[in-house]
Amino acid sequence: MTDATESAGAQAPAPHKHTVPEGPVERACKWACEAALLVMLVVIGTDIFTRWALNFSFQVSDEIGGYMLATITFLSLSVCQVNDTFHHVEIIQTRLSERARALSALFFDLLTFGFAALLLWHYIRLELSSWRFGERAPTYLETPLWFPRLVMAIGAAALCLAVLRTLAMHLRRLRSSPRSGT
Amino acid sequence: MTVELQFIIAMVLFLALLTAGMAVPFAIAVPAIIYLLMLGGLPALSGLGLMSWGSMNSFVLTCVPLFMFMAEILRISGLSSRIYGGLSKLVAPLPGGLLQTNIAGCAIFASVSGSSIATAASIGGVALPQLVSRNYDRRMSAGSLAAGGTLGILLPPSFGMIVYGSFTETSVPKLFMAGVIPGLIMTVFFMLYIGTHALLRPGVAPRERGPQSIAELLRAFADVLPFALLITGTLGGIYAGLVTTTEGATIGCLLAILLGAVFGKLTPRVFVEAMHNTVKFSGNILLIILTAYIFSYAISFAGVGEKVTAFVVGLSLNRLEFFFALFILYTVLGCLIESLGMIVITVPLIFPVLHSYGIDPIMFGVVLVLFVELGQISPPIGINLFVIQSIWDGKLNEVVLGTVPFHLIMFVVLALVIFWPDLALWLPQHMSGP
Repeated sequence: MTDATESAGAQAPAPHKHTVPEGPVERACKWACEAALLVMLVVIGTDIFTRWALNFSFQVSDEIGGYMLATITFLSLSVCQVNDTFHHVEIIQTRLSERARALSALFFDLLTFGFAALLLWHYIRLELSSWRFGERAPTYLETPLWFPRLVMAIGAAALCLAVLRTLAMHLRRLRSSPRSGT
Repeated sequence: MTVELQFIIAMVLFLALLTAGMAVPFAIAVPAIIYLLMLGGLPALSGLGLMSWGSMNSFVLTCVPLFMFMAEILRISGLSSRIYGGLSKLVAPLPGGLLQTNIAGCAIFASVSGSSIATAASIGGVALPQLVSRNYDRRMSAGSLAAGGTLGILLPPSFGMIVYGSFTETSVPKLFMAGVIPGLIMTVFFMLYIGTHALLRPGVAPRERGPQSIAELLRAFADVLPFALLITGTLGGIYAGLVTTTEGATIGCLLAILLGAVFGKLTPRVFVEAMHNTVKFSGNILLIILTAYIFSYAISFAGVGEKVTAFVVGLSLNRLEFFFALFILYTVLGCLIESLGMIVITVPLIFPVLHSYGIDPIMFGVVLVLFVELGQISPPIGINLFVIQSIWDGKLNEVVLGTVPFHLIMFVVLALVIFWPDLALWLPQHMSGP
């Protein structure tokens, strides 16, 4: 069984959804993602309009659109983690006791934290090297690449924090669940 | 340890984590990282940052959150209810009544949404209460909605095709257009089946009355009109080569906002809610894409793609046997892996083989999406089955049995596309632009 809340329009909650209230970090990330979505719409929309009406293109929509996508990708990670909106295959989970589910969630969170920490480490390295070598995008804007790439490190750091929060929640679940409960 | 064994360990770990219930993107990422570590130790991870940036700083993928935002605006502003209401007047007089409306509604919603789940949930949420209250056959009701929902990834726009296109550098607009004719054939076949079944067994669907006056007919057309405008505005420009896929998605979003405000219930509060949902849902899909790139990076690092190609070519299968082998593979995978996961895990392995069989990448994109569609209504994890089951009071068993005839129709469409690739390739060959 799969989490039935993948996409726009899904109305029913998944049977074993465990969320954590959004904190200031997740809220800030969400607003930044929404701002990126609006910027995408405005920049690409403006480019379509000027090309159609004035036969003129700013030639920045591809570049800015890509940066905004990266912003949404990396800053939405923590939002998805605390809201438990990532897909899950629940074929085994539905057959487990509450305690076993909490234990497995803890184990998965530990693995996820390891992955998030690894990403953070590599994204910081990339960020530092972009800064040190003064890398610039080979585009009209010649954007210094450390700036748009910053969202990768921030997003991975926010994900680490969000995983720690869900980990704490699953620990509480584990403590409160009966040893032989179903 | 041999490369083959390392690959098998990674795949077994992936399947184990996935079925055990780990979030799909992380169930892809963790084995990919372990695989990279087995292949080259810590230095093998050194490209992780640059690879992540390169894969997600992509203008092609920018259309994913935009199409998602468009579908969310349509759902949340009540326009999907409106289309069902209009279609129920226009299509329901056919034998099968509202069951026909389910398929037509799904086909139209699929044309503005890239996701099967969004399609099944949006139309199912509106349709099921009416179907139950009017004593429609429960299996047929659930089956038609679960199967109709799968049109979401065959008819453009399609997230499956966007992901396939971005992985294989195949033209996404051409992939979109390649899905149109097979999607329409499938819609017609679904409707023909429902009509025939309703004529043979009148108990499955009561006869519905069409519009009783010109005014009612015009009102029904007016309900369908916003979607017709949206489909024309979004896909028309892409087909004509006037705009890219992402620009088409932007136009779609702007039109959806306009139509939602004029014809629907789109208020500033609802608009903000649509943005919240878009961030949550697109974050999930984008992370699956990112982790799939990491998996793909590991596969290319190991050179597994070349080995798989050599192995498959060594089997000396003919084209038909190759498709049959794929059919077996995807039928098994469809029961184990969710749809996007199925694409991103298999494409890096299978795509290099296509050239040896002279299979057009665009045609293969359509075949792949059809395989994925089958997986979406295959137990035990077919996601559309659960979407429909979660919005009504029926048993999963009824949904599964209800989809069986639609499964068979999908096999027929799949066979048609394999035997007559022009069904998929004719439209892309006649479109303007890249």
